Amino acid sequence: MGKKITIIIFLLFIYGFFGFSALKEDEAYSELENRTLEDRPVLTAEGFFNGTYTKNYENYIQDQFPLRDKFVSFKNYAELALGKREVKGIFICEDGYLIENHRRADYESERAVKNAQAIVNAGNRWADKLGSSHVSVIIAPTAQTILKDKLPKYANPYNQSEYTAAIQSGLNEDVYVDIEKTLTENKEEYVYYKTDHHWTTKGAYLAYRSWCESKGLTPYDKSELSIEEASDDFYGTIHSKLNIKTSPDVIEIYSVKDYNVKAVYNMGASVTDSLIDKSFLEGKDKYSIFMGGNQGIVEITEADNETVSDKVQQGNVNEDGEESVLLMIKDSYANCFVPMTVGMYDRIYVIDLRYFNMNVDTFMDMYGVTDVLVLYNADTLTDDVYVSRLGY
Amino acid sequence: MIFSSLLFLFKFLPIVLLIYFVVPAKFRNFVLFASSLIFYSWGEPIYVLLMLFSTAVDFFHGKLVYKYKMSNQPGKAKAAVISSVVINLGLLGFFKYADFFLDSINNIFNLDIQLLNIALPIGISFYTFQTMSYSLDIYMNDEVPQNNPISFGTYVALFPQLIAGPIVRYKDIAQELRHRKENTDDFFIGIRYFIIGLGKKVLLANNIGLLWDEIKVLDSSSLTTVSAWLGITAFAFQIYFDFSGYSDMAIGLGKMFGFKFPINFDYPYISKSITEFWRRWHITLGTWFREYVYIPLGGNRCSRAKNIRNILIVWFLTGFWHGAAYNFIIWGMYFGVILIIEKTFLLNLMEKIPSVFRHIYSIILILIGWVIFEFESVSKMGDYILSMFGIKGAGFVNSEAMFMIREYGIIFIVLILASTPIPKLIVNKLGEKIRHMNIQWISYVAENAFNISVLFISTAYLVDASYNPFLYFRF
Repeated sequence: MGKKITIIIFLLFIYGFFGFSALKEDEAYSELENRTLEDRPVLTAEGFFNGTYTKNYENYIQDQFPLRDKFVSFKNYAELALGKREVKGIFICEDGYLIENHRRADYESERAVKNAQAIVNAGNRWADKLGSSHVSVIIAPTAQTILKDKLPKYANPYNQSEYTAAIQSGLNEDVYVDIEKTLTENKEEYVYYKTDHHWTTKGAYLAYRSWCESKGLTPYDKSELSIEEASDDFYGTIHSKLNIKTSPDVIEIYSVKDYNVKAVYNMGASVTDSLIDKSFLEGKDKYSIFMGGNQGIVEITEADNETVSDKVQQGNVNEDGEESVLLMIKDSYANCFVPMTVGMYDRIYVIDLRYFNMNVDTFMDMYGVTDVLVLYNADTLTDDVYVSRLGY
Repeated sequence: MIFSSLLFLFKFLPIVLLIYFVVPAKFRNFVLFASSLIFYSWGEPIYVLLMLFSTAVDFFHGKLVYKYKMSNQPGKAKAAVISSVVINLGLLGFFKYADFFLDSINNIFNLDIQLLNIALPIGISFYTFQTMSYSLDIYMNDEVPQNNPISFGTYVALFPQLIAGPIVRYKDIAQELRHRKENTDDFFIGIRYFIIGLGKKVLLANNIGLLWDEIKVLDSSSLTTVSAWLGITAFAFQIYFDFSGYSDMAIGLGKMFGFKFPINFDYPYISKSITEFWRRWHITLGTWFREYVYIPLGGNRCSRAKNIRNILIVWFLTGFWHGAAYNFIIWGMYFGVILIIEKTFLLNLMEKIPSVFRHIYSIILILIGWVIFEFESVSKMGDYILSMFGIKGAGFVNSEAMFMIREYGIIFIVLILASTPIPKLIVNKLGEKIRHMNIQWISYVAENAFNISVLFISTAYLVDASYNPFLYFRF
C-alpha cells in the first residue's frame, strides 16, 4: 500500500508537469525578467548535428516551464532558509537592499582590461584634440563599493576603485572625474536603488555636481530643477533574478525647469519634447522612463533651435565655431543623468555604443563636437564588447 | 543528456516509461536500446556511431572467443580476446589520450606536432570498459555470449548507466537481459534511489560546488589556511554527492526497468584507512581493475615484489583512467603508494590507535588526494597544499573565509551528516518503533513528504539553473 502511494506520487509528479507543459501555451516574453523567452526550436538535421537544436530545446524547456517564476522564487527562499546571504551573486542585505557582487575575476578579465585601455586611449586622444577641460570620463562605482556597510557580515567584495584608479592614472590630468567621494559621503542617503542595479536619480545628481565642479561648469541648483516622484512601486533587475519578497523602490525625475527640450531619437526615427516617457510606468521596466531606455543616438536641443539634420543639409555644421556641442558616450547609468544637462550646451548628443555603428571620431568631426563626457558604470565596462568601437 | 535536467525528468523519462511498460516484454530491450541511443545522441550526435562500433566489435569478438573456447582452441580464443581489448583500448587511446601523448612527445623531444584537439566522447571510459568486460567474461569466467544484438546493444548503451556508471560487468546483468521481471517492489525501491540521487546531485553537490568554484580560482596570495581547507572539503563533498548521486539515480532507473546494478559508493568518508576508502569509493571501477587487471597479473598470490608491482600498475591505470593529464597519474600513484605502505605495516600499527585518529588520518590523505585530482598544474597543486598547512598563502583566516563559513555553515553540517550512515540509521530506528506501535501510516506520510519535497525543490533548482555542471566529462 505504502509503496504504491510512493509510486503514484512520483508518476503524478513527472507526468503532471509533462502534461502541464504540453498543454500550456508558450509565452513570448517574461515581464519579470524583462527578456524574450526561448521559442520552440525547429528541428533540422543541421541544427541537430551541430548541437544548436538540442541546446535551444533545453533552453526552451527551461524558459517555458510551468510556474517558472514561482519555482525561481521558491528556490531562492530555500537558499535563504539554508542561511545563505549571497544568492546567485547577489547579497541580501538588511533594510531590503539587494546588491550584486561582481568579482575580482570580472575586473581582471581580458575584456575588462582592454575596455579600460580603450577608454584611456580615447579619452587622451580627445583631450589632445579638444583640450583636457573639455573631456571628462566618469566611471561610476556600483552599490557593492559604495554601500559596503550594508552588506552581510564579513562580506568583502572586490573594491571597484582598484579598477577605476587604473583608468584615472592612465588619463591625462583633469580628464577623470572622481565621483566616488561624493557618493561615499552621501551613502546614508538614497543613492542606489534597493532592487535595481542602477543608481538613483539622487545618486546621479551628486555625480552631476562633481562633474560640473571639476569642469568649472555651473550646475543647476536643486531649485532650478523640478523633482518629481514618478513611481513608488519599482522592482528592478536584481529583484527579477531572485523574485523574493522585498520592498519596492521609488523613482524620481530631476528635470530642468524653464527649458523646452527637443529630442531627436535615432536620427529622426522619432522626435519628442521630453526625455521622459511615462508609458514605461505601466510595465515592469520602469527605469526606461528615462529616454525610453537605451537608444543608439539622441540629439537634444532647445525646442525652437535648428536640428542637426537641418544644419547638415545646410552644410554649415563645422563652420559654426561658436556652438558648444557635448557628446555623451554612455551606458544606462547616464539615462537619468542626461535630463539634468539639457541647456548647458547648444546641442547634446547621447550615444550608446551598443546600438551605434558609426565611427565615433568621424562623428565628432562631422557634428562639430566640442566637449565629451564618457559615463559608464564599472560593471558594464568589464564585459561590454561594444566599447571596442572606441578602438582597442 | 543528463539525469539532472528538466528535459530528462519531464520529457524523456515519462515518454520512455510509458512506451516501455505499454509494449510486450519481448520488445522491451529494443525500447531501451532505441531510447538509449536517443539519450546518447542528444548532444553527441556523431559519437553515437563510435559507441555502436564498440558494441559491434565486442558482439562479434564475444562470439569468436566463445567459439574457439568451445572448440578447444585456447590460442585462438586468446587471440580473439586480445583483439577485442586492443580495439577498445585503441578507441580509448585515440579519443581520450592522443593529445596527451602528442603533447608529452612535444615536451620531451622539443617538437611541435600539431595536436588533434579531439573532443572526448561522453562516457567512452565507461562503455569501453563495459564492452571489454563482456569478451573478458566469456574468456575468463565462462559467460555465454549474447545471441541477440539488440540485447547486447541494450547492455552497452543502457541509458541509466551509460555516461557515468556504475560500470556494470556483463555477467552482472546477463540474466536480466535475457529475462527480467519488473515489479512494484523494485519500482518503488527504484524511485527511492532515484529521488535520493537527484537530491544529492542537485541540492547538495551543486550547492557546495559553488564554493569550490570560488576558492579554486584564488591564487596563493589570497588563499588562507581556512579557505584552503574549506575549499577542498567543499570539492570532496561536491564530487562525492555528484558522483554517488548520479550512481544512485542510475541504480534507481535500473530498478524501475527491472535491472539490478551493483552499488558504487558506500559512505567512503567514514573510512578509517585508505584501504577502506577504496573499498567504499567507486566500487565498480575498483572491482573492474581487480578482476581484469590485478588478479590476471597474479594479484597478491605471488612474490612480494610482484605484488607491489601489480598494485602500482593498477593504481597507475586507475589514475590515468580519470583523465588524460599528469595530475591524474600522480593521484593514482599517490594512492598506490599509500596502499602499499598500509598493506606492509601501517594497517597493523593503526589498529592500536583510537579510531578518531584513524579517521583524521584518512580524511587528510583523501583531501590532499583531491587537491592533486583538481589541479592539473603541479605548481598550483603544491601552492594549494602548502597553503593548507600555512606554509604559503595569505595567513590563517580573513573576512572572505569568515564569510564563506557563515554562508555555507549550515550546508556543511547537512553534508557531513549526509555522508555518514547516521540519517539512514535514524530512519530505520524510527521506522522500527513505528512498526511496533502499529502506526505505519506515519512513516508513509513522512517518506512521501520527503520525496515530494526533494522533487519540488530539485525542480526549482533546475528551473533556476544557474549552475549544474557535469563533472565526468574527462572520465
